[in-house]
Amino acid sequence: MSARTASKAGSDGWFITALLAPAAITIFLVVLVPLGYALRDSLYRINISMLYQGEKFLGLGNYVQALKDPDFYNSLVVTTVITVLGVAVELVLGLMLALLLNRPLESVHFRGKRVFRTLVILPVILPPVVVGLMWRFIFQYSGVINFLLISMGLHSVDWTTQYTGVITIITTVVWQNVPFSFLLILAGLQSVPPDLIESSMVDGASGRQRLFHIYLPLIKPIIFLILTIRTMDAFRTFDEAFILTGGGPGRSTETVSLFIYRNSFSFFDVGYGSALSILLLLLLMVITVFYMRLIYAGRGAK
Amino acid sequence: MTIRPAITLRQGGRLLVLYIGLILLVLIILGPILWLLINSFKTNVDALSVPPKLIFKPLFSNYPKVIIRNPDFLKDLMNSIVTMVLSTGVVLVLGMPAAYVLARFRFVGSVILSFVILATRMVPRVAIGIPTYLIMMRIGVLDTYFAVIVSFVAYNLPFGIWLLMGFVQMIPRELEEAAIIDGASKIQAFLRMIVPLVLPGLVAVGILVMIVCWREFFLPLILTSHNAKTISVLAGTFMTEYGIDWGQLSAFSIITFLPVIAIAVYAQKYLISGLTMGAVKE
Repeated sequence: MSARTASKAGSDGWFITALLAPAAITIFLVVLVPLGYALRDSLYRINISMLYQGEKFLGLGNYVQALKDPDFYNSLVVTTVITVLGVAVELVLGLMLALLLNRPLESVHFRGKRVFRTLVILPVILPPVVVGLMWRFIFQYSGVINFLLISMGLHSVDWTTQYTGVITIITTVVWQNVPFSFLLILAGLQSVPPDLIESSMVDGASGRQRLFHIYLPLIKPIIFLILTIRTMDAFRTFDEAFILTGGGPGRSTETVSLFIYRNSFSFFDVGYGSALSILLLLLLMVITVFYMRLIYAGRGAK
Repeated sequence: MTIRPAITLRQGGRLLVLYIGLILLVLIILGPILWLLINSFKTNVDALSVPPKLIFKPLFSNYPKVIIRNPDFLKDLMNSIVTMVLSTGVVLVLGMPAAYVLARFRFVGSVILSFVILATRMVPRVAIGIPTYLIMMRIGVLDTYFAVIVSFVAYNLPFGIWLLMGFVQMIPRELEEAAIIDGASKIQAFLRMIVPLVLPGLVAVGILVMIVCWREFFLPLILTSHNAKTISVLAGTFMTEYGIDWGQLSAFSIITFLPVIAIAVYAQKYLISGLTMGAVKE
């Protein structure tokens, strides 16, 4: 097909241009130009509360400042903790639920299937800000979580401290995203050929053996996929931290995105904020490449 | 005859596991939302009482308070709807032809373009938001629909194109070839053949983009202040501006959930096809 289309490329030229140009120009203007600006602004000192002072060229000054900034490292640690714990719990819960419900969902017909699907999708599509408000209500000092703790004979916990605040954020993120892992893993499990399962049963394989030798290897690509997508998203966490803790107390629950937002719009240092967002972008690229290599290394070994 | 009871027993076991699992899942997912719904009919005092009150005198004034007495609510709701609809329109109208060309033709730069489109998914909101803020400030259009829509399109157009490419690829190439042999021009084949066939995909992508816009917080937070403020930004300022009235806040939250719940109920098929296409294509 490529040979055929290639030979006709000349006559297709106007057609391709006409259909592609509007989108290409728009993406250039609204994505690439701003990114170019971010790159440029990252080399300047720009204070948006004192724009009359003009911009001052710093070279790599903002980047040097970032690499020396303990608050930046702090936000990296906070974000990494949220990402690693959050995504791990999401994956494990999603996998458990999918394994638990896969066979029954396939073999048993029940009426509420549609309703069930609707409910499962819900958290993924609700606005994160409002979900954050909801969990803030649940986690507040006189809220439901503490009531449950007390009724189990435990003490009330302040869910907004240095350590518990991170737990609050992770819980919110996990609640919102478990269904995503669940739905994708379920789709993966349901694409496992039934003959394979039947024959393993005939051979007397235990449930555990089936899990590790049939299901997991077959859905490995999907697990990596979820890992990649969710790591990218979790590393950019902003809304939940903004609403639940505001990064506090102090900076103890401040994610990278929140840190960048504060530098840019609370301290008005947009040049520094631009440098930080370029660094975040680079970091995300490194993580993606790392995952890609893992995925392709896995494929090569087969 | 001997196998029969074994099967029913196994089926019974499965049914039990299924229902236990389902009930657990539904409780975890629905519990918080139901709790919010219950509290949206409480006074602030009732909402804060320990132990939580399950039996109380329902209060119906939270909803009207949030909707009517809050001067920003209707305006911000309107802003959210307008920016969401226009952004989605732009994404579909620009994205569909581009997706078709990228999915069907090989040409100089097509690989690079596809890569750029995929790579923009990694770009954090801050990296687009901050320079967009500066550009909008310099041309004096901060706090307008224009600024919000530009940022929404920036965030959704590449992803939309990429999803639509997947839907185009599912259509057999022979169909257009047959149409062209029958004397249709390429543009006719695209408009009369492809677009109608991709319609379910267009709906799926449209719904997904609308949801992303409805959920979006960071971009309108920095790009708007009053006139073009969206409902999510209002949510973000809810606590500081009004003090914390948890009853009203619950009512407000339930209202912002409603459109999304409606989509999940009425357009579930499209929603799932959009979500899975988005993930599987990567």
